[in-house]
Amino acid sequence: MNLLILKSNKQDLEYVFYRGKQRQSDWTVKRCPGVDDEKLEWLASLKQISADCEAMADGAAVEAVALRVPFGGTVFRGPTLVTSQVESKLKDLIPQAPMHIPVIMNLIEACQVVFAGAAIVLVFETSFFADLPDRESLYGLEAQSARSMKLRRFGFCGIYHESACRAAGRRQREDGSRAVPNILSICLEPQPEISAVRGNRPMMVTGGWTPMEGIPGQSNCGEIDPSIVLALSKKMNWGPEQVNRTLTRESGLGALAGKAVTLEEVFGSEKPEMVLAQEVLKYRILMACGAGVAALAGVDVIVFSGRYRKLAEILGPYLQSKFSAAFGDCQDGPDYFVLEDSLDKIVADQVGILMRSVGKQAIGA
Amino acid sequence: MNVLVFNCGSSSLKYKLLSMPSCLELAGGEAQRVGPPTAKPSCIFHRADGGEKEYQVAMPDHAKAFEEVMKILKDEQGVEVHAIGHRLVHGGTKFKHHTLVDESIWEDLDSTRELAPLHNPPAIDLVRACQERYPDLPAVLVFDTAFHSTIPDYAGTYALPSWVREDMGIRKYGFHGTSHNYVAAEAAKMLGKPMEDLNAVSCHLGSGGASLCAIVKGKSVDNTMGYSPLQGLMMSTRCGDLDSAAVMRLLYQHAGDHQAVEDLLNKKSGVLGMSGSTADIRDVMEKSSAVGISEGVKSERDEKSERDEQREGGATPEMAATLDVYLWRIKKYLGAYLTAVAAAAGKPADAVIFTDTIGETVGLARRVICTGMEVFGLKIDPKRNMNPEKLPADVAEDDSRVRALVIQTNEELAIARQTYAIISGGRDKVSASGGAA
Repeated sequence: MNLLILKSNKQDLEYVFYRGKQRQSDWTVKRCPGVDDEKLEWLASLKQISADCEAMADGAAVEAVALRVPFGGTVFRGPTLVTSQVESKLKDLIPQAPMHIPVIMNLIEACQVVFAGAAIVLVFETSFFADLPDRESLYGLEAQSARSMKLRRFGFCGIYHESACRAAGRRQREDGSRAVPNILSICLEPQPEISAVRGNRPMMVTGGWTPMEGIPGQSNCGEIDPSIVLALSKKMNWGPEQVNRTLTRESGLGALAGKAVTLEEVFGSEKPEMVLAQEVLKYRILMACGAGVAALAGVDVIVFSGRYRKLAEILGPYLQSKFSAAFGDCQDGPDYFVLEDSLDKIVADQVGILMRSVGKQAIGA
Repeated sequence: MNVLVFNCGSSSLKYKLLSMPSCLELAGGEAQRVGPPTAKPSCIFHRADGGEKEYQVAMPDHAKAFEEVMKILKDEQGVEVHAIGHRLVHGGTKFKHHTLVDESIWEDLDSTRELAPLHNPPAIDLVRACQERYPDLPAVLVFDTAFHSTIPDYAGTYALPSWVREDMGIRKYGFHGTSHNYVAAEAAKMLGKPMEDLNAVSCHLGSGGASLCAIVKGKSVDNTMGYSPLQGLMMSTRCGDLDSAAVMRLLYQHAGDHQAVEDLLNKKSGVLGMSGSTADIRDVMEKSSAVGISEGVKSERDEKSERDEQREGGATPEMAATLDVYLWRIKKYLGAYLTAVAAAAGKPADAVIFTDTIGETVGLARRVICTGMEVFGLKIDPKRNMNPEKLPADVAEDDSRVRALVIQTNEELAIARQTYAIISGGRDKVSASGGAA
């Protein structure tokens, strides 16, 4: 199957192309400068991408297009083939994700023009958390406000978490155990996220209504006292947009280090300005893992994933030693391993499974 | 030395007179409906010699309430006051230690008013009134935040721009410090070790506010409350942890009305907001069996039992959800803090301490919170837990590595001790644990 995987990142469109299981390129950024209309921009970009793919596929057409979608609410519970019904459900989600869903809808429309006849599959970051227990997903808010604004916890790195947990389950079975494993899944993306998962069912996640909650990211504040938002808004006489910009673009590890940084730089440097950022991040990860262990009543394995998964070399032994102290009686801390799969590999696998299950002919039709 | 302790609420004034250092309680009481006239008259309920007497008297402000209390103590009971201990909720960055009142404090003290707008202004006004009326009576400010001044930067720093952290003084302050400090000291006594060696998690679970505190070597290293008492656990009317984007959305929804959002998050959310019927988690517990998490983390609430409960006038689905969220958050924070304490101490915590109204009296809450914590070495004994003969009590199983201690908090006694230590020691400041600053 010739599969094109797309993700839109602000103004950029990134793609990667698979022939069968073979990845044909690295993630490539396509952008058409000088085009103001988003739909036209997507069309122009996709036409170029289509030509690139045909060249890589010796003239064969793209058979399926997968779009990574950051938000699907509780409506979309797995990879989903685009139909008119799906588009309608997606439209209903616009009030909950006004920044993301319209972009995806325009992209779908453009894909339908450029890749007519190809199956279009949506892979959602939130699907894994669609069945998060109420006790974890509900906020302690006045019920009417929470209901009317659909304020609940979602979780946002579900694609990695789900794959990490499947891998943990496979390893456990290979070791001859049939028990359902308790897993701490640590996704080391620019906005890290930790989930405590029993088997394949998430019980706890650090991400919230938006990715702003939880562990601090490279430029994102993570969990803060809700009063700080009000204090900032009052003191500076700012509206929500200005507060949002400060908390999502000017905060996080970069704010602690005094300059823009990646997770890798935070752990890879011994410069004094990195010390606070590193200590804060490690502590917040430790706390979230401790909460996860309580949520699961134990832990069997820790899995690292995401683009900064190599930091497992530092964080793995760190967490093992701290949990060894917490569990006492000379117990070793939990084992850990790294999910080496990239996001596109995981998406390609998921799309492959979906297409096999619905039948290639049916999709083509 | 007779120390009069004042605990100033927004419309009340609680007091206790203690003889120090024996800690003998000589009198106590509460002035209620202080401030503008209400449907019922202002009155003082005064307790002494095993009885209680009610005094109806107009009290338009806390200064007048203070005068009336002093009059009752002197004229009716004939006791002298030698020193006053004032409870202050928030000391900000200016007051990291409990402090003797003198002329130098006022500018810094007034700067803390807006940090706790409900609690600090009336308490500061009371301190001033006391000084004006009795300038020679020594007084000590005992700050709830002082015990948390030892929270290290990695736990107390928000990942915010430096101008926000430094210019606006935004960091984690922590609250309920007087109570956490007191019960930690009592726990150390129970375990037969010096406070400096105590590693524990203290759970102050009040019927109103609630917080957990991680304690390493007798010092606070983290608290679930943060810059304000809003962060952390879900409380009677406070939401606790909430995505910042949700606060912005609420601000947008309320057309930028800060007060409306502040009221929503502080006064209309939490147990009251979720359950829709009561602000007291005990009411919810009475009607709910907490099936969802009392069995660990295995199952969701059983739908059939939920239907049966409703048919019998028990918990509504909203109540059941409220209870699950309330207990679940405590459980998660307990796991986080047991890990954090062990990480800093290099060994498991010595104890988990339960205190204040819910922590002391609701065995079911303790049981649910501790279920599934065996991995941390905490095993609660169901019988001891549900029926402790008297407090303080250790309700853990004999072979539990981490002890589960139920200890009555006594913030007034803690304040009196701090006040006595400062005045009798001739020092103007002491650290939160009573040692020299």
